[in-house]
Amino acid sequence: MKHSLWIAVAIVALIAGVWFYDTRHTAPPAPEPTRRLKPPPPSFYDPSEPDPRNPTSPLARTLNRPDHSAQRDLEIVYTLLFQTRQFVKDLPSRPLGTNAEFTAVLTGDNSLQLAAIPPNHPAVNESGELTDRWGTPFLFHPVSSSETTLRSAGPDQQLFTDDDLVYPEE
Amino acid sequence: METSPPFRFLLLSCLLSPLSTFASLDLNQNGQSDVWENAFQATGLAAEEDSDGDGMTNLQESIAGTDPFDPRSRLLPAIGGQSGNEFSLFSTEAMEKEYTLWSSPDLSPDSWTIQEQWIGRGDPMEIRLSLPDSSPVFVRLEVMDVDSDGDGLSDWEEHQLGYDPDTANSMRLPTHDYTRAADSVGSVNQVSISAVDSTTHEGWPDPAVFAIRRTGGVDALSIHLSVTGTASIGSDFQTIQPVVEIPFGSNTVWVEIVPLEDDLTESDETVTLTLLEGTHYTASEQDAASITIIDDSGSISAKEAARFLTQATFGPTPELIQQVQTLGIEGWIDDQFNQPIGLHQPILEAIDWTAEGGGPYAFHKMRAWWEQAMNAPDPLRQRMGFALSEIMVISDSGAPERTPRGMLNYYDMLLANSFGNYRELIEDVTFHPCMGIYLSHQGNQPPDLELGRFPDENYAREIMQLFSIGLWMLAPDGTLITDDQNQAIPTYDNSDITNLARVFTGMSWGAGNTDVRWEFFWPDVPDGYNYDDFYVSPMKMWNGPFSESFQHPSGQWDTREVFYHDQGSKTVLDVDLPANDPSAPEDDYAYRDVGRALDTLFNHQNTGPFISKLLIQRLVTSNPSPEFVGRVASAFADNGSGVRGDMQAVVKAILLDPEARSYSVSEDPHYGMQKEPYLRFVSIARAFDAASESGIYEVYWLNDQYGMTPLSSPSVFNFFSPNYQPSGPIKDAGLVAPEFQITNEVTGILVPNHFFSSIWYQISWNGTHPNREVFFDFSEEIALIDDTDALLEHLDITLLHGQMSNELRELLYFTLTRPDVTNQSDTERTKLAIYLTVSSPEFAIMY
Amino acid sequence: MSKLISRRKFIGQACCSAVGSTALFSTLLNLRMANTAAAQSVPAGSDYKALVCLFFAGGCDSYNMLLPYGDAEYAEYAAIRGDLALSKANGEILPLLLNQSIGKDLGIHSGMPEIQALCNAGNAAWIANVGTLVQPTTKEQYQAESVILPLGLYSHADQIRQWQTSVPQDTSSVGWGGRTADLLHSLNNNENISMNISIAGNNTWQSGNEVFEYVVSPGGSTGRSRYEETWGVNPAMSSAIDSQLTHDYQNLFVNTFAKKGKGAMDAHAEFSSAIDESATLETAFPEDNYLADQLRMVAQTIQARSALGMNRQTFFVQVGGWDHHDEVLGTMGTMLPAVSQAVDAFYSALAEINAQDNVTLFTASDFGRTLTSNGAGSDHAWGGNHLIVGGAVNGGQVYGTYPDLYEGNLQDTGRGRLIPTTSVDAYFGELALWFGVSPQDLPTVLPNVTNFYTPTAAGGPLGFMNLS
Repeated sequence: MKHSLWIAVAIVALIAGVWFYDTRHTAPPAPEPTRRLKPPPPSFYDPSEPDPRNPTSPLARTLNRPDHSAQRDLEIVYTLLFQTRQFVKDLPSRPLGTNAEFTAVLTGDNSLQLAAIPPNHPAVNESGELTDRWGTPFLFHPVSSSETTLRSAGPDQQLFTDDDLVYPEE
Repeated sequence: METSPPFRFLLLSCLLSPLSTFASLDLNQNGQSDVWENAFQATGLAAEEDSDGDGMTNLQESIAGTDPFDPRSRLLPAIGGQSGNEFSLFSTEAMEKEYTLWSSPDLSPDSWTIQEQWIGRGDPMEIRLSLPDSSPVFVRLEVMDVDSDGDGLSDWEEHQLGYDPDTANSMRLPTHDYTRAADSVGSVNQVSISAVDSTTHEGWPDPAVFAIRRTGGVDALSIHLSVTGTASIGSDFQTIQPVVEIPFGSNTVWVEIVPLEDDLTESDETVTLTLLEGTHYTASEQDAASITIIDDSGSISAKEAARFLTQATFGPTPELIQQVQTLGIEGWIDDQFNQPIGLHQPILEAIDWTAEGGGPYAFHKMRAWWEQAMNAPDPLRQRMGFALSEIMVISDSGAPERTPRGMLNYYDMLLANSFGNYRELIEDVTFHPCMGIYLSHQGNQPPDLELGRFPDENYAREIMQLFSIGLWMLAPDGTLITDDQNQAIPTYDNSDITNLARVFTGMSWGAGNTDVRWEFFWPDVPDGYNYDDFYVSPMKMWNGPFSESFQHPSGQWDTREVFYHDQGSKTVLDVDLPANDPSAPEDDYAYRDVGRALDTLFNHQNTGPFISKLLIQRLVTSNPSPEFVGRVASAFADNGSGVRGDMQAVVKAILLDPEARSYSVSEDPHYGMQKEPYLRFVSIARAFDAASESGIYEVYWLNDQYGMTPLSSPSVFNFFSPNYQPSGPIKDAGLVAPEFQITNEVTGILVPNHFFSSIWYQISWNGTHPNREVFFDFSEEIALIDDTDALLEHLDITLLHGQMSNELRELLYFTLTRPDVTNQSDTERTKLAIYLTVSSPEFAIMY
Repeated sequence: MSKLISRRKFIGQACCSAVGSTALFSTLLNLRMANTAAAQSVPAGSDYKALVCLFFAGGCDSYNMLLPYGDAEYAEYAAIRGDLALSKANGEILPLLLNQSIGKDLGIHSGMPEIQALCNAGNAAWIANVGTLVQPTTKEQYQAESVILPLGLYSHADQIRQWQTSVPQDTSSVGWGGRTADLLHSLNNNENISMNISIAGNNTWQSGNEVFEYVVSPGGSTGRSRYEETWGVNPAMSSAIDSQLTHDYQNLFVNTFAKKGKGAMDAHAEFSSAIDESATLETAFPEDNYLADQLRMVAQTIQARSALGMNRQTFFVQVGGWDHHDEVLGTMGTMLPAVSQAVDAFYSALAEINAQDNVTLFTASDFGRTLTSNGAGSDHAWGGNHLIVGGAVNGGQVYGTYPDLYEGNLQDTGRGRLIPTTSVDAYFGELALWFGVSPQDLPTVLPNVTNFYTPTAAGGPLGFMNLS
């Protein structure tokens, strides 16, 4: 039986997944009320500034747009990454761990120079990280070289609190 | 043979005479084992006489376990040939007796030493002695009874009676072995007769079977029969003997009625056997039984129909057997071709995921799969589609895992093509987005040496190796062609792969506009679009030319004209695929280029035999003869109307072939296949109408138990290889047995255990929605439980298409009529009968 | 089965000729000679060896397991780990006494006093900053993308697989334990039970090309349902199963299926009776500790090694839940003591059955974790620290190179993700050599090993095993 790989993936998904998603419930209480939240920057794309050189995904342009849910934002990033992997075949050999590393790939730093998201997208902060609609970088969680799950810190801008959003939901 | 030894050489056959009560059944207290007396019909022989004149007294023979009436059966060794200093001694070795070979240089009492001690295996005994040159040697052979389990019966006696010498309660019966033997030996034979397989059919000579059983007695018993009934012996059925023997130690003898085809149109006929008076037995009340020979002018036999359905569906049901009997096999196949497709994706789409608490997740596919496996109107297509899913594999263990809708869409595509044309099938497979992400040809672009970019070669390789032509050149009958060095000839080389990979370029999302370059990557779909829909519509072709931005190494941006489908010429399997002439571009070049490549695979000489053999292996037998493969391959080549690749013709050629259909093939010990373990479970579910109140099947997560579940192969190479050879007799015979690759010491336990829990408890659990819990329905079987023979005949048809062996039937009969079973509830006994049938090796193999 | 030994056929053995002038019974003698010859290559019992892989699934934050203790290195550690740092002042670090200085004073998590004791007694050692590598890799090479890197670096599934295959550049799922068993399984005298036994389900490490893992639970192997029960229909059922599986069938497929089914039952019967018949371990294993339950079964199996006819065995045990993006301090604070106590009990049990020198336990995990905090925990990284326990370990030492921990150091690819200074091939190569893989065969087991070590060189790649 050669399904060990599948099992390994399943185990990881289970372990990682269970932990990754469940800590919401075990996380410490919300930050002290005195803490001031950073004002969310405008982080959705203004279609009046199309990239003339390398058209990016129309989906990316809707990222962080206020007329849909924040959960949809996660789905968008997840989908863009999944799609990028269909085209950039050598992506598994690229070390991808941090938000900035994933964002670089998503904004065109890859062997195809394929940009799902325009590098000048307002959701990309000065550190080259892709942020959620509240301005906090998404947490990219590499499950395998073909699967990355996502977490947004939510309105409180703090990861691993009750208002976090995760994708895929399970 | 007698040669004089060069030195003194003495043989003593010294029989250690045990107390008569030691490990021996001797109710008549004559010092000779009653079992021995029964075995050789030697009751009451005078102990000191030598009835056969072989030099051993009857008492000695009883101790040695030899035949008192056969002078060749004796312990006293004969000296065989001599060669130099070597001698052979020959003797008769009885099972389970302990033999000791002693030697002495001078016969003095203290000088005897044991040279060898062993337990008899019933083989002809040969002892080879290599003697020293100078001194004399004396040897003596002793025999002794052993009672390993201390139950009062010697191991030899237990062996004779078919008991287990290692336990005092053989067969785990509540009765002690000694008591059981004493009861048998001490009682009078009572004989009964039953029709245990009560029909046979002129067109399907699986015999009808009478079982003549005795209680009491262990001796060989001759039973006298009278044959009556409307059928004529010798013309309606093969002659049977009027006297049959229940052998010593056995309780049953079978009389098989083999029908003779007589070309007459006649009514069904009967054969009645009646027990006549005889010595050593009395007939019980049940002293007559009848079977029916069904005339073949009407419908085919239910057994034949059931066997056919075992190959052609996920398992026979009473309704399907009836259908096949009504329509005939070919008529039923034709009818199946016209049945609506039992689709899977719509079942998934109809689920309210909010109410479900999220989804669809990968495991939800099995809900749709089971619903169709159980209820689809097109069971033949369902079986074919599953077979194709094991050839043109996509799997949960790859990228498609995240789109259960897409994977079921792919599966439904296989179903839709199961009765179509292979050429369309291979095209639909090629263009399916789930295949595109599984074998990663989606989004392939032409090679660009400057960028160091090459199209991914996965799909190009696997479509040849696995989906069409295979690795080695084949003759039209599927046998390997070899070169003059007797070497197999590869079908393709690396250049074919790289060329074909260039063909599979420019394919991407079905939701995109192929006139817009960037929609190759990012289709402009409406807001709120469900991106999972990408995986339920076929990929499209982006050819070009497009204007593409690119960055010079200097960082400067620039534009250039690009094609996403490779415009150059390719050579695939010696066929030249033309370039697209820029001065006169071909309409739809990219799509046609792929089409020409697929035509090349389709028309390759290997494709017919390769695909035919794979499908035969999935449906009928692991090792089809070259003639069988050849016949199917020729149907693939031409359906009779000049059409190549007609899957209906292929399906018919497989299922109507004599090697699939004729009764006699199953008598060939090399014929057959292991039914895939998961499909065995499905066939049990169908036989016993597994269902939940809600009609929902939540049958998930069984991969660890079965080593397989639909659409979850560990790789594109399926759960097992079509060439797998388990070591042992199958491999030694040069045969393959693919399914044995997932039959090991883990699944060997977990598969029957899952049958067990499903039968004794239930198939699925759901604490929140009890109306989704899936149970078998055994009501029909429970109703039969008090007529063991009728229940077993029912299970034989339902599960073993009438091929239950007499040995299995008798084992089940014995088991169900044991005193510790008959006192159990109807349900327990029914479950026991079913479990023992479905976990039997006979059920695991289709033959 | 007790009588099997004397069941011999005396016919059809024409090959047996007289051996030596004093031979009276050549047949017999030849049989004995044959037995001796088979046994000579592996002296029974005396040459038993077992490898136990303890896998921390999820990616253990092992820089909080083996960490700086000396003031200077602790300051560096505390600076980069920030809110994830263990407090030396509060006694959250236990010092290690190394046999030889490595230029840094190191300690271990205070939840692991038993491991500290094992280490100080010379029965445990550490490998520092070990991880998946295809070839030796510097930060410059990493940044310039001028070396082949492991596929799917920083991701769970790929890194788990690669720690178990030791082939980071491809997606094969044949493990190095499986390849080892392919080579060595003939040393065992058992045809039913695999050399590789998993107490934690199917895994890549033990999957070879021919040999696959035999999966048991902490309670033992699994047999046919109710086969041993004596109530109700069960005796009849079990007896009928026996009859079905031992019958000789004419059809080859039916017959083979029956044999396989019987083989599976025999494997269980042999395994469970070997376990049942071996003496109960005196050593108390900690309660409510799943790792301890698994390791107890390993120890019991090792105790039954002679009954099972095993001269070489591998075992796979696993503890999950290490993916501490959040709450790393608190969770490790409860998980590491459980590990420490379980491993300690295991070592005591080995000592009890006098097998401590024959068994080596080693740890593995997806990856190490980022030294810097994400504000709540640590994220996926690369090199990490691992533990080896056993009497044949040259203990009380840290092997490999314990790296600098300041941010942006020579191994840091960002966020304190450290390029391994020791490859898994060097780590596993040493274990494989100890286990009995010949230097010539080492590249078969570990295809990349020659990028890091010359197999024919004297001594192991790292020196942590007593190879003499």
